[in-house]
This record gives sequence, C-alpha cells and structure tokens, in this order.
Amino acid sequence: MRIEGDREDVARGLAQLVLTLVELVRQLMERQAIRRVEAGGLSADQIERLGQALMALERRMEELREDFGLTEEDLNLDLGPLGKLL
Amino acid sequence: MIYVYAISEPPVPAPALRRRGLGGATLRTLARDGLVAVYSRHRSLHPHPQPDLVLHHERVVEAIMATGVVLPLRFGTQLAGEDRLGDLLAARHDELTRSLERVRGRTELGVRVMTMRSFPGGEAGESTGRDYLLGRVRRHRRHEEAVRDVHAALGALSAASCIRPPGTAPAILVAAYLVDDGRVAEFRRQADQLAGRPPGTRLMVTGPWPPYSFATEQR
Repeated sequence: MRIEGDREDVARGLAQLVLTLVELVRQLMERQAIRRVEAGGLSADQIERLGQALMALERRMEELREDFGLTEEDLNLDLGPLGKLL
Repeated sequence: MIYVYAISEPPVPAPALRRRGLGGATLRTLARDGLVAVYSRHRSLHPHPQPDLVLHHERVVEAIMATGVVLPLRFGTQLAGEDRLGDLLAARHDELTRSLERVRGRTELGVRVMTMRSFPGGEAGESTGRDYLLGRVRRHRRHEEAVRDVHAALGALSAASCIRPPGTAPAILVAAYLVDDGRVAEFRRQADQLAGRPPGTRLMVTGPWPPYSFATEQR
C-alpha cells in the first residue's frame, strides 16, 4: 500500500491500515475464545459474555468499515509476493 | 558483492543465461563438483522485496527451471564474492545434491483454501452471545475438517508437502505440494473436486512454481 495522492486518499489509507490491524486483533481474540470453549471449563455465563463481546466487536468492526467505505477485501493488505496479511 | 538466484547442475543451457539479472547485470555461473550457482556481480545492491525486483528474481529462476532442475534461492541472497560462493557449494555439496535429486522431475504447486466471507454479520438465530460463540466454534471445526480432508487428498498425490501457518481468516489452509511433473494434471483435477467443500470456502491452486518450499531439507 502506498500513501500518496490527496488528503482524502491519505486519510482513507490510514483508516484502512488501522482497521486492518484491529481486524487482525479481533480475529486473534475470536480464535483464542474458540480455543477456550474447546478446552472446556468455561461456565455458561462466561460463554455468554465472551460471545456477546465478540459479537459486538464484529458488528462494530463492520460499521467502521462501512463508515470509511472499505470492503472486506480492503482489510486484507496485499503484500505482493509475500502474500496477503490476513 | 554477488547476488545468487539459484543452484542447478552444470551445464546451464545458454538460453537460461541470456536474460539479465537484477539491475541489468550479466548472469554468471560458478560450477563446483556437479553443482552450479547462477549469480550476478554488483558494486552495491540493496534488494528490498519490491514486487518488480522479486518478479525479476523469479523470472531468472523460472528460465533456469525451464531448462533443467533448479533449487531456487530466496529473494535477497547475497554473498561477499565468488570465493564465498565456491566455499558454500563445497561445504553444502551433499545436502544440495540430495535436494536436487528430491525436486528433479517435480514441481511445486501452492494451495490456498479461503473462506468466502470473512466477516459474516451474524448467522440466522444468533441472538445470544452463546449462540454466536458456539456458532463460531462449529464453523472453526468445519474448517479444520475441510483442511484435513484437502491436505490428505492432495498430500497423497505429492512427493512432499508443507503447511504454512495460515495466519488469520480468510485463509484457512496455505500449503505447498511437491508434485511429479506427470501428476500435475491429476493434482489439479483432485483440487477442483475438493473445491467448495465445505460450502462457503474456495480453493485456489497456484503454480507451477520453482520448488521454493522444498529447496532445503526439512528440519
């Protein structure tokens, strides 16, 4: 990703970068939660609260993405021959 | 300072050396005891992995691959000079010879299984945190099963395989397979049959590549 062009492009580029990193963290949290459920030992209440938090995070993420006019694909930085970030 | 592209066996046919190296440099070869390295000389070179430079490296390697067996080196491999390169070929002679034998008559194919929608906005009936989280757990299990099936089926058609950590969604499998040249078509047919299992995923085959993932011995 190159940061160039007019100010709006730069702002959008920055939002894209930040949201990509937030999305990366969100996915890691989701994966961690899945591991904890599979390991057992979470109470019904803990599962409910963890699920609520992740659900809210995912919805909020979607809203932010739409606010900045970004698609899902935009949050997947293409590192060229090194592959996609996500 | 020299930049090394690949190891092969002598003689490297002239057509493979007719193209230019990085920065337009002449491609040269250094042979040692049944091995040959393809390299170019540079006064100074700071090869950052930019797409055009990486592609240039790749084209040189592919030209060698088109004429014979090749062990591609990773982009950015530099040495102080020819002496150092000669030492390296001598010191790692047996290992490199084994690696050439391993990839001879074979090619690398890349496989990626991706989920089609990375951020589903909640499936039907996901009103509680529990439903949401258990839904994610089920999806995760489906994906793991699919990855196991794909890898088992494609691995059976391959001489060797390696799975990379897929990072995060949407990729759920990133793997490389070393396939006999004669089985590439069969491999692709098998991959086509596996595509879309489970629903909501897609499978991509890339290549044939020089055997980057199989150039060194698995540790």
